[in-house]
Amino acid sequence: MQKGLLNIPEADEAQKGGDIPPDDLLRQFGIEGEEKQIFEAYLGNGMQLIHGRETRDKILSRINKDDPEGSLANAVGVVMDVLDSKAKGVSDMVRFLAGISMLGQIAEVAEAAGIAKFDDDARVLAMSKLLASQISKGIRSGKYNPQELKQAAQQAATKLKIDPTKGMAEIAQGASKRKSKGA
Amino acid sequence: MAPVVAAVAAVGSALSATSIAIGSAIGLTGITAGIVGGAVVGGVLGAATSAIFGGEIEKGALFGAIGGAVAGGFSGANSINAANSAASGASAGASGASSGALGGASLTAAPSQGAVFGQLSGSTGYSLGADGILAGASQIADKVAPAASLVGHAGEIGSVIGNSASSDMAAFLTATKEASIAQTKWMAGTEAVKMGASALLDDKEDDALKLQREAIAASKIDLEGVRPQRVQGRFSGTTQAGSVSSYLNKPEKQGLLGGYQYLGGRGYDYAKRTA
Repeated sequence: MQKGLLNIPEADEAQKGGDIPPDDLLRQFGIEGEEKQIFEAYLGNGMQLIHGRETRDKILSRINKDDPEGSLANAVGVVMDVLDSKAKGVSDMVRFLAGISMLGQIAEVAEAAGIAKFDDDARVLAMSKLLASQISKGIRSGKYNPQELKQAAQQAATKLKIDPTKGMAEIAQGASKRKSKGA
Repeated sequence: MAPVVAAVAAVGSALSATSIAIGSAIGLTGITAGIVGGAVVGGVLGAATSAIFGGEIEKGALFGAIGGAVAGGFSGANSINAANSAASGASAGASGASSGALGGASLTAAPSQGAVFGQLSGSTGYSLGADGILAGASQIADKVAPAASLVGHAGEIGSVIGNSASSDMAAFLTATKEASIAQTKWMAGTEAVKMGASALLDDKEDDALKLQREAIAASKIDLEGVRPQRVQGRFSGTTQAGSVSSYLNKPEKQGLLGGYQYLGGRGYDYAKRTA
């Protein structure tokens, strides 16, 4: 993508803060006090990358129409890599909340620039790809212990009253039905 | 508690108090917290399970994430298609899991989705049939052979989706091995591998298939002369060490049984099959 072709309004404070998780939500995730300052710094630096003149085009150039969701997730991942390289030891909760906020921001900017459209479906898919990328990266690097992760996820699923396996089975059943119809 | 574990647990706690704010952060409209929470929890669960069972972590995570979102009420078609893509080659494993049979969880060759299903289903049993090939061919030889002797019909051996980590499965395998030790174990096993492989070869080329091909190659299983054939059918139902029942839908019409002869108490004639 060539520089200068994007017709993007400069980010003002309202825009930057538009989709940032409010304080009460942060509290629900245990982000308070010093952790909240870290979150604000992490996300703020991310927003500067997303909206800054020098970096914005580079980030947006990663969004392509052939795979908007995957490229959006990839773009967020790149921003997070930059932030992680500058600030070590940021908690996973901060990274999670900041990451999805930045995903929303990049999607908005890309839409404003006419690069791609991101409806709810696309955003959930992009978020899933971002999650998949980040989690697998953490496991491969040895940062996360799969056994601990599994246990925590099962506990969280219980609290959420959600059974992900049902969803997976539902998807697979649908695929199987489609396959048999097509056979 | 490791930070990430605490984070995942906190996600569960925080999102259980329904809030659409988390959805707003991504710019979603009308999306409930259940979808976001389901994606997070499912993604972590899928990744962890795949990692534990040696599957493809990222694919397992993506499949799990979208599966979790679906469990939370999400129905986006594109996302579900993407999940299907990630789960390519695992559809029969999924069917097996959803019907109470065991999805695949082979240690080296099954795609991550098979591992996810196999582990998460938490049930026991076999799922046989070419549509359900997920397990590595190296495992098939060892596991199908004893099962074949119980089944009593060589043609009903397609492939096996097994969970080596399952104690129930291990018990079953032990029992069946002992019961069939005097029979033509390796002969049947080799045939099963060939038949499983032939069905594999007929499937679309995808990541799962590549994995399976690699497993076959790594196990140095001779596939020479094997003709690609597709097998329709299922194999279902088992108890821990009990009998196995199975069926194939009109297998004689699908080319699978052509060349096989059951010789009563004298075993099976595979000569025509391998000719």
